[in-house]
Amino acid sequence: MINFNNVTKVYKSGTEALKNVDLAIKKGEFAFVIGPSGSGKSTIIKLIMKEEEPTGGELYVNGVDTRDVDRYEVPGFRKKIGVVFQDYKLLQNKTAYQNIAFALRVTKTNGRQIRKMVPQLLAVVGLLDKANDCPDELSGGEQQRVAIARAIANNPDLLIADEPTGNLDPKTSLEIMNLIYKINQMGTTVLVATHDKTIVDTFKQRVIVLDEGIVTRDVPEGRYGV
Amino acid sequence: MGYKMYIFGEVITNLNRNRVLTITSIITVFIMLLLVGVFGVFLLNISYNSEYMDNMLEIRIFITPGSDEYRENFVKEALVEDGSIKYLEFESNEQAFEKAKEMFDSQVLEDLGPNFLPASYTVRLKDSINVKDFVAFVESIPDVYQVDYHSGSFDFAVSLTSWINLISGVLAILLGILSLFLISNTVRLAMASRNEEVIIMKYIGATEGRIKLPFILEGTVIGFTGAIGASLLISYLYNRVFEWFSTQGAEELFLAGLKLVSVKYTVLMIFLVFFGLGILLGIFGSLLAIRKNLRV
Repeated sequence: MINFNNVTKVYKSGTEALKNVDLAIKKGEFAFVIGPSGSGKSTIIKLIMKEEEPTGGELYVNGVDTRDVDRYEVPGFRKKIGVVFQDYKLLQNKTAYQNIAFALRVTKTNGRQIRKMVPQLLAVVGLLDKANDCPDELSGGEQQRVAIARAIANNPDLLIADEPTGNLDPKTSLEIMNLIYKINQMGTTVLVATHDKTIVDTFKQRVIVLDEGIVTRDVPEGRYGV
Repeated sequence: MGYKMYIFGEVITNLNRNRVLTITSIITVFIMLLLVGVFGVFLLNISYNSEYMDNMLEIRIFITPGSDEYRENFVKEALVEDGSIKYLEFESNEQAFEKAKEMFDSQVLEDLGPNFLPASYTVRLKDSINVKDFVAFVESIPDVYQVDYHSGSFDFAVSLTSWINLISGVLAILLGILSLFLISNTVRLAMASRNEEVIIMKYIGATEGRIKLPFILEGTVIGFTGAIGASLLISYLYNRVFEWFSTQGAEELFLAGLKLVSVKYTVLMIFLVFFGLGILLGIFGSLLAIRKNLRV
């Protein structure tokens, strides 16, 4: 699903964000990417999303070399990747329903299908009764559920969650991670970048540790500190 | 059809959200088109009446008194050969004498006889803008005694047309740039306020076209709305001016021979040109704003 082959990333400022990273994430796998600030977690995500280009090495996402994806193919490339952010990134002037529908509209889903799919997605994340609420009427956990529903609206092969529990309390964090795990169980490959030790230790999935741009540890069913 | 209705709804909602900026931009486009339109309609009528104005501007060429028919014909051939004239009328010294007798004491004139009066040619030019060159040429023809033309009128008419052309052109460019800038600014601010939306659209796989389209449409609506306002106002004003001019204005302004371009034709031209200009300003203003701010 994702293959980093000796990937290096040096930004224009001279910062070496990734150094000779070799990493392979299989289809359907669930993996945590952990590490301190500046370790390269965000860069990994940006490279996968084709927001940045590797300076060296090769990166394959779903069998496609990202260097071969030209500017006009990027939207199609990204349609197959769902992203969840720490700050949810919901549209404040739209309801939960409209936020999810928005993701479908801009990817050319027709109105009839949208009306069918959005309630289903709201049901998956347990927010059918909150369809008409705007983000400021929802709790942090509920907002993140809406964000997750939006991220999976286009049935992506890969779901990336960048600190999805960063703004949530422990109980809500667990609920959100359970939801993400459930999505993984349905076949979607999941990559979670996180600082949350409790979550990593609870779920005991693959743990990839980054430190100053280098993969220092990569263990299946790992824990945060070990 | 569903997506188009959705986009249309989004465009209206977004324009309404940035109401102050939207209204400011519409007003700018409106004022720009209004000013350009006023000058444009003025120019249209001047052009329409150019023949009338040319006819007003006659040049009188006096031949040296006492010249014979040979010299009179020599001057005539030189004038015709030049190619600048569209009308030529000869008045012999006898004809001039008869006219003078009607105006002055005929007894005194009888004593003088017709020979003291010069024969003359009255000409009208094909293009009044070349009057000074033509006069210089005529004055160089042997046996031309004097060249008379209402230089003030000529110069005024030529100067007026040139100034109107210049001012219209400069105003159109300046106001066009101002409108482009304001529309572009409106769209840029709209993009900034909807930066999150743009980021989300990029992440979920929206094409550049899908991201740009609402902003371009917003700019187009601004341009189009300004154009409608300006078109309606100018059409109304022109209709009023036309009625006044046709009934009493021409007499009051001593321009009885002038006719204004028909209201129907003028209104049609205004609407066609303004709609085109308004929409183009809207589209280019938007493209200018999103060009640097958008890259997937």
